[in-house]
Amino acid sequence: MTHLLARLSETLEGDEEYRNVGRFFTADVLFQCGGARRLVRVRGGRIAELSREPGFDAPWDFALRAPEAIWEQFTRTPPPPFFTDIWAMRMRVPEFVWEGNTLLAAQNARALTRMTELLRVVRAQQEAAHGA
Amino acid sequence: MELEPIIGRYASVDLEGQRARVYFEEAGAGPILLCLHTAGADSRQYRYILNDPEITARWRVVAFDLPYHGRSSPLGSWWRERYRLTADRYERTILAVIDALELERPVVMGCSMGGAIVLRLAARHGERFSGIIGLESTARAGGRYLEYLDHPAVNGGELVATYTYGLCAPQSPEHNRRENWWYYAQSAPGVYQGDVYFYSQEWDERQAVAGIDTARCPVVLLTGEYDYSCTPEMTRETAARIPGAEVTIMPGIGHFPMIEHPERFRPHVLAALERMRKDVA
Repeated sequence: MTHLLARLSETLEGDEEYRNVGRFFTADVLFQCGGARRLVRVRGGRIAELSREPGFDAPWDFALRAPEAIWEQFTRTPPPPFFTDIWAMRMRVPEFVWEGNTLLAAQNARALTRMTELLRVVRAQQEAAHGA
Repeated sequence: MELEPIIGRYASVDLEGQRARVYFEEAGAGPILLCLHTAGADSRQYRYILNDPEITARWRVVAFDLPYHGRSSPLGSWWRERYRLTADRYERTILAVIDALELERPVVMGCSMGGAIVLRLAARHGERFSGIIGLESTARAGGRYLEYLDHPAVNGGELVATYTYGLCAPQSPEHNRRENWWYYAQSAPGVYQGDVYFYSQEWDERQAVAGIDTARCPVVLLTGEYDYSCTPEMTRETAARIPGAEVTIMPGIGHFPMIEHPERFRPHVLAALERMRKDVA
């Protein structure tokens, strides 16, 4: 999943819906995939910075954490039942943990939900490029 | 000019000592099919059923907006109190609308919280109904209530609509899923949360459903494979408590079958209605 985050920025910028709903989305979002962590600093909808393995002195607003196998199911097209979006996983997938300033996440629900959906587009593009 | 056959009207309904102004839509002729919308939504969710000539040739389809929803007015001094639906209030409202519209022994089809309350209607008032069709129906729900759904720092319409969007199956046509999103975004502040209070916090009819007499009031339960709020397993568990209940799990459909994928839902609802016609006849 971390390799999908590395390509997410250009997919966000090419997505009309995300550009429409994400213009006020500013947050520091920690994604954790198994033991790997990535800090995505979003400013006005754009990914301003993507940090690998952020340290103690790199605070974040909220975190989305899951084992690799969970993110693998989430990023399938189509996703299986219980993996349709991060709200579905929050309710039905115990290994998925969403914590921190969840009020900020709720305020940006539309943009955040679209952002995470677009991880599927990144994956599909990568698999098409590699003939998977 | 092309007009849909749906007719919308307002009715005065005696409810909680008041005259409630209730909006309803109808189409067709024949025995009555009464439709109940989901939490925080309104009767527009049934527009494909109301516009289906095969259904309306055999049924008079009626769908109403609960008070506080869609084009039905809220009750009393609504600005002084937090809106909260309860099972008793929901039950009383449906019976009052049936009385006001003089609907004789309807088949009642409800989805989500509507799919829940039809179980109580069958258990307590089976003699008043020709059957129930429970869409995404469970005797016990849970897990849907959030304070953020009615919070001054959150755009409630956006959150409620986004929160429910993923309940659709990803295979459902995007235009339909977005249409349901739009309806959800239009609900008044706190209405979805107030409905979820009933559906997710209060509702537990697991014991009562065992008393449903399906010989008198047949029960058909239809649940989408992708529904993560009322999962197929939850519907199966509910059906197992009701002797004679029929269950179908609908592949490639989520929590809102009648609006998210009307074409895929159609054979399921036609079969359910055919089952009901045997008893109506």
